[in-house]
Amino acid sequence: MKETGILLVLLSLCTGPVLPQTQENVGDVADGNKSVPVHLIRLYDEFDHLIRLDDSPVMPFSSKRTCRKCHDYEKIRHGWHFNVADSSVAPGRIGEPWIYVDRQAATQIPLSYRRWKGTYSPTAMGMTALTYLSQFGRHLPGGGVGEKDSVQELNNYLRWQVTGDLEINCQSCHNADPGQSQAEYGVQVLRQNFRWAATASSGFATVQGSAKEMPDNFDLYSAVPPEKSEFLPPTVAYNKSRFDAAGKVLFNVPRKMPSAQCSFCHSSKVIDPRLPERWETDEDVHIAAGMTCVDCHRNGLDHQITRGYEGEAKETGRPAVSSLTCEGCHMGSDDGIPADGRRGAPRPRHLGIPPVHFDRLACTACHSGPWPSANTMRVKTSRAHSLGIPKADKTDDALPQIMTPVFANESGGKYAPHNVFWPSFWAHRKQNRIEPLVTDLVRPLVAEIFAKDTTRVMGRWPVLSEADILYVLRRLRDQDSTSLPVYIGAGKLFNIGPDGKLESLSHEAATPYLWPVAHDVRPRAQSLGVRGCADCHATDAPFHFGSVVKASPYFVDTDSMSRMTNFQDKTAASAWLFSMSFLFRPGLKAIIIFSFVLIALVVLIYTMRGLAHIIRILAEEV
Amino acid sequence: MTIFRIISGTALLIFIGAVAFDLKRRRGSWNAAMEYLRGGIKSAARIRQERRLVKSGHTITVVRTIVYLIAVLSFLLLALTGFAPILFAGNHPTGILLLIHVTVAPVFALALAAASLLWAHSLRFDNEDWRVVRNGHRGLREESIRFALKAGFWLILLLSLPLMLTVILGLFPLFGTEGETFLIQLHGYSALFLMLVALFHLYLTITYAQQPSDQFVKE
Repeated sequence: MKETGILLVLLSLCTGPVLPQTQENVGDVADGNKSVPVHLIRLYDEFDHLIRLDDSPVMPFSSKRTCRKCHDYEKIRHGWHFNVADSSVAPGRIGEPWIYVDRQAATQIPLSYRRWKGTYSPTAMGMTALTYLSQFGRHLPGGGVGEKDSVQELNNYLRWQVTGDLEINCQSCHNADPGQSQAEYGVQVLRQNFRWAATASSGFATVQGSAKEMPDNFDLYSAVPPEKSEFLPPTVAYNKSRFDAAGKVLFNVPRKMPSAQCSFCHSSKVIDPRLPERWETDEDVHIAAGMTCVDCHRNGLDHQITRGYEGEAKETGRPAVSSLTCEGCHMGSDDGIPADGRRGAPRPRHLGIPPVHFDRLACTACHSGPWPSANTMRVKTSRAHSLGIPKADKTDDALPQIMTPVFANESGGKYAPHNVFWPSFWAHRKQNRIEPLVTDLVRPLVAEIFAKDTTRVMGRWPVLSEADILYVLRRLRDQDSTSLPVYIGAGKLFNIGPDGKLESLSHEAATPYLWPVAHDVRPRAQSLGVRGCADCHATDAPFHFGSVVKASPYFVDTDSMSRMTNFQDKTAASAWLFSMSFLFRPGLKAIIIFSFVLIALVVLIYTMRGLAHIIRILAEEV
Repeated sequence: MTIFRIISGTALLIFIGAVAFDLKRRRGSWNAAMEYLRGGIKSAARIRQERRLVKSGHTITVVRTIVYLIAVLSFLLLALTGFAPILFAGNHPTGILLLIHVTVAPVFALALAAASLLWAHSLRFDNEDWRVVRNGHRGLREESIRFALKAGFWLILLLSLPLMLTVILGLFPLFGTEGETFLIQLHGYSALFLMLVALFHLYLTITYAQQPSDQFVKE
């Protein structure tokens, strides 16, 4: 018994004092002081070694290792921006997917690790976590797939050793230094310089070379490519003037991030022929009023950022979120403490608007996105079109072709403006399941068609005729006779029919992919309906009768447009009938007013006569 | 909406129940009551009675018949399109139902205005009604029914005023969301009371139309 006690004492001395598991990091506990803490800190590399300028080779600093000295990285890494590959996380409201585009294979397909309806997992397109990051990591803040061992495939093990993990780049959002360059971060990610990307973007270091060009056996410490000496290995050089005598660097970390930090990944450019120049357009009315994105899109240490859509509070089990929606700030709620008017949000009066509008329309339907026109317009987004990355295609018709605004019913049934694009891809059909084909298989077949006919201009898309699609499908069938090759495009599924001809079918996989948009919010005076009911209820109002362009490589004139009502819970006929009734409404109003006055007069006259009669009777009785 | 749904549903059920029990009480059995009601409806009593009773020229009779017919039909259509979505789905009328509702509403308003001109004088209250008021139901059955019909007519006209006013005000940019919601609630309750009164009036008309009396309407 005595020996056991001694053993336990020795064991406890070896393991050191046991800290309570709930201990919080110094940077995570707010003491109520509203000043901004100064982030003058030492840098650590991915192996938790202190960065010294005289190291050889000098290593890039690791946000993970550096920031976790004061912040709970483990908690943060489960936040919304980083938990994309976590299958236990509810996908939430449908959002913008990553769009894989292969122009030569006539492909644009929505991808997401989240299980949003209509998206495909990147693995379905043959993408590994490494290729996914190489393609889309330019607009990711790191973390998630970038550092999740379970998705880093064994056959890429050596490659991951070269690139390093793409850890969360805390500075993407939190470094307000003017030198912080997310574009540089994107370039480094495209070069597979994952472990160097955060350092390169910081504004006080320069990274050269490309891990992508290094062989799998590249040794980080030798920094010399063993075979391909014509390519520079990734190296980092710090701006020494930014380090103080103690080897610390000052980071500009404001409590509230400027909107520009968010804008890099969350910008969009509407190709509006009415407003061709940037100076002609306005920014979101909230930003113009001096607010920032994080005034509404808030989060705690867990980085579960508020997305701000109706129903989010219920879905996420966080009631406080409901006060950060449009309605929450502008209208408040009757429950608990009054929360309306947050950040000075004006309470809308909505004079003369029948309340049914608020049951049927999201706030964004009237207040957000571009003012609708007869035809939907193209929109380019940061993530879909690499906006902000040097050498990105700046032309207005760059792929993928996304259309906006489409007034469709959200899952809750309310109308809201959406972005839409039409998936186009080659696939195998197994039973009713659609399995996309890797574009490497198809690209040569499409190229064959163009090689045979040199007179054809490729343009943005390889415009495919029915014969072309049939040709590729036959070739795919020849390669694999066990499955049925199909092409999805222009809202249809094409396959080889029993008669050997091209057959066009409706299929769920061919339906357009839509996601709601909330910004930019227009000023009140530019809301739909400000000019009256006809803004939406005219017989040619874009809200119901706009045309949605079906952008697809398979381009047939008669099918190239879709009606707005195809995205709504009403038919074109019923919408038209309803709109027609507004032509007669002034007359109907006049009839009701006339009838009201007439009946009121009759009632008044006979009331007076009756009163007179009663007075007479009473007088006689008296 | 839920409260209004409950109130209107309950009110309608009570009305239907009261009518059923009244018929059973007077006819003795359920079968006889049903038979009687069927006969009453078939006779399109009120209109026929109007035709029979009105002593004035042929044109005014036709006009009265048409106005009455339009008023009853448009009222039924309005009640159906207005209350069916509330009672069965718990929603305000939208889409095609709302379209029918707003299209028929002016027709009803016009028919009611015309009815007020055509019947106001003949259905004015007089000394006999005063006696009914003072003596109650005792020994004045016919007078009571006549009084009830008259009261129904004037109540319909009275209730139509807030019914129409709430629509008129709601169509102009005068009220905000709370105001518009209040107007719609007021419209709903006015419509509910008007519907109950109108159904009661119709019931009285149909039930007592076949009585050999001609004292319901006087010139």
